Amino acid sequence: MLVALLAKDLRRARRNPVPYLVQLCVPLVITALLGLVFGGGGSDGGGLGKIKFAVVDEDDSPLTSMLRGAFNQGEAGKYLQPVFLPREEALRQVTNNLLSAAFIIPTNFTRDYLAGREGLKLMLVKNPAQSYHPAILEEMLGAAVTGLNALERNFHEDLVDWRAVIAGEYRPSFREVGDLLGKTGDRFERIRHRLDPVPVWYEKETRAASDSGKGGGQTFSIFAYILPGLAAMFLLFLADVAMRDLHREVRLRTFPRFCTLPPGPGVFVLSKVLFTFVIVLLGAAIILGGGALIFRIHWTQPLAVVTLSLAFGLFAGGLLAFLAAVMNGEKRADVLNSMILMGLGLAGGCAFPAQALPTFLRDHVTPLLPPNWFVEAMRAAQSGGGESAAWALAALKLTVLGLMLIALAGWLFRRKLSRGELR
Amino acid sequence: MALLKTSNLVKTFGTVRAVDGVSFAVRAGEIYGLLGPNGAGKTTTLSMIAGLLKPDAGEVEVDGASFWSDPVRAKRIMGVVPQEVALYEELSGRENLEFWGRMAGLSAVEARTRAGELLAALTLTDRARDPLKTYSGGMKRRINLGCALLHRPRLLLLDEPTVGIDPQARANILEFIRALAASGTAILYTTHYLDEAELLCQRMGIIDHGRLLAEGTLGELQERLGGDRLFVLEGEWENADPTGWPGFAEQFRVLQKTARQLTVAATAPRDPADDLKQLLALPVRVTNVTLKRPSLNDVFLQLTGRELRE
Repeated sequence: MLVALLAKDLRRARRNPVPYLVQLCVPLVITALLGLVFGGGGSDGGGLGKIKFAVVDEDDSPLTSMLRGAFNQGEAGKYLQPVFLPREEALRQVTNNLLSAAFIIPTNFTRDYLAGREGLKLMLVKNPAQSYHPAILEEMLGAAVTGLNALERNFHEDLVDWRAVIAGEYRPSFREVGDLLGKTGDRFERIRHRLDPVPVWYEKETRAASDSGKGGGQTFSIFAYILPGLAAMFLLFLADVAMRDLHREVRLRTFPRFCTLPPGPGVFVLSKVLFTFVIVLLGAAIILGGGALIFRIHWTQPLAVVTLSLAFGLFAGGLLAFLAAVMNGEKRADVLNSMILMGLGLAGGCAFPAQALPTFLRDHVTPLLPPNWFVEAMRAAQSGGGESAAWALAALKLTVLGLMLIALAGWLFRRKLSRGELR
Repeated sequence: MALLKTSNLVKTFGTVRAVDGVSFAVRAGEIYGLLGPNGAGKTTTLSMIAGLLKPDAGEVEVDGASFWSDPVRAKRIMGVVPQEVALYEELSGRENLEFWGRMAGLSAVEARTRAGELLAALTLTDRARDPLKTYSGGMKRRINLGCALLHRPRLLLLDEPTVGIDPQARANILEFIRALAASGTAILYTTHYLDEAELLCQRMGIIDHGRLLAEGTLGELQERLGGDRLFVLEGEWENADPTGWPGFAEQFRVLQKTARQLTVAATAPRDPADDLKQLLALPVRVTNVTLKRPSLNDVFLQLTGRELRE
């Protein structure tokens, strides 16, 4: 009986697929857009990509020439893609969203800096259409300014002499340059105990992925970070489309007709939960599986992905059955379901990282929301930092909650049916 | 023995008593018409019989047993054709039939076989594979009827099955229903089309404001008017009081009086010419007279003081 009901619903969905396709395509499209905005189209197949920015060197001194060269070398060359442009062109390209920012070194900056003048400014013009890349450049500039200030405070006297040499104000003899080097060297020697070893340092480690034996460590993929969140939210919307079919069947009178037949209405409602569960699973397979193909995401823990998807499908079926049971009528469900699911998704950290949410939400609400259990468990499993117990616990919580909601919805439906409210 | 029997059914919605003490019975092979205007209580009565609504009072018996003592058994015996076309537009006619057959308890193979038989009987075999949304209104109505027949019900409840279809499609459906009754199916047929009821139903009950006002065969209902002749007199009746005229009340009963028309039934068995002579002698100038046999609408008019289609 349930199989016949499920087959009927799947057949109808296949012949009228638009509402389902919309919910399947949107998360993939948004993921693609967000990923591309954040540079996901980079050659490494899913990192933040190189940060392309302009360097406007109006100072054009030997020091700034060295700085320009440094941008393209070593580690910086992996992440930074500077282009050297005049101010006008640089600002035009930032305005046209071709660059993340323009870094402007004003005229006479080196001379004034070495002369110890105060109030010097480097300028960063950020692209407002981008968020991550300009922010990273701003942080880098902040670090550079801190370094320049520290250098100026410790080597002020030497810098004045060096300025004369670098600026070519006179042609120093080799002896004078040698004395200057010696003097600076002595100063370095005096602070050697603070430089070697440095008082504070850091260690870095790139953790190997769990299946490192099959191809090495997992690099961070912005797509793999974004997709589970959007998938969770749109799987809920997909579940809504599927479960709202119950309201449609009440309106089209096929549900009352079914109630005149021996199986009774409980079977019908149960079949809708099953249909919703199957639709969510198919949706998860398309969004997460299709996402893996489109965005070259390597799901590092497929068992976790499958288990969490099954549990989330059960939760989604239960939640939407519960909502169908408490909503009086299709029109009310049309309005309220979308709001409720949107709220669950946004507050659950599906669209934005939970860390970016307001403090109260982040600390007191988000951890209680099932979509957040799913998203965080998926992200943790994907980053390799999640223990299997963590995602298994999330799956268990989703399953138990889903079953409780189904039971509650069943009770509410029985009550409604006994009152003749659905007929 | 009656296959369906209702006793004093009552259903109230808030302060509205939708059905008020309705009792009737339908025997095997009989078509029983439940007639009344929209909102009279027909569908509510049918819903209680089909188990969609539980009566506040009264009893529904199906094949000798109370419906609510064993609803599954009762539902297996009956087939219900709702007033609306309660089908899936995305599915084909055959798929709809097979699905509702499965829901009625048939196996996949049985449902497929029965669907084929019904498609042939309903003359829809050539359109069997087309989606229902491409069907005409009459074709959908036929499938709507067929979906209630997959499991060969002994009792069929039909709630206004011909609403909104053309005369030819209606004639096809009525013919099909007549054949079902001939094969022994008990049929409860609700309608507000009086011509259908006159053509189809062996017995009928007239319901209005939730009460069953009269019941019987067409002849028995016509007898309630006291004869087989009605006179429709056109003239200026606005200020007239026929019942006060000498000798009028002994020979005639007023069924309806409007400003321009007076409808009366002859209560005594005498020559129609004598009736006509007496009517033309009334102190009102009559411009036209029509003599006719009483219809169901006249019965309804006599019972409620208004026409069925008002």
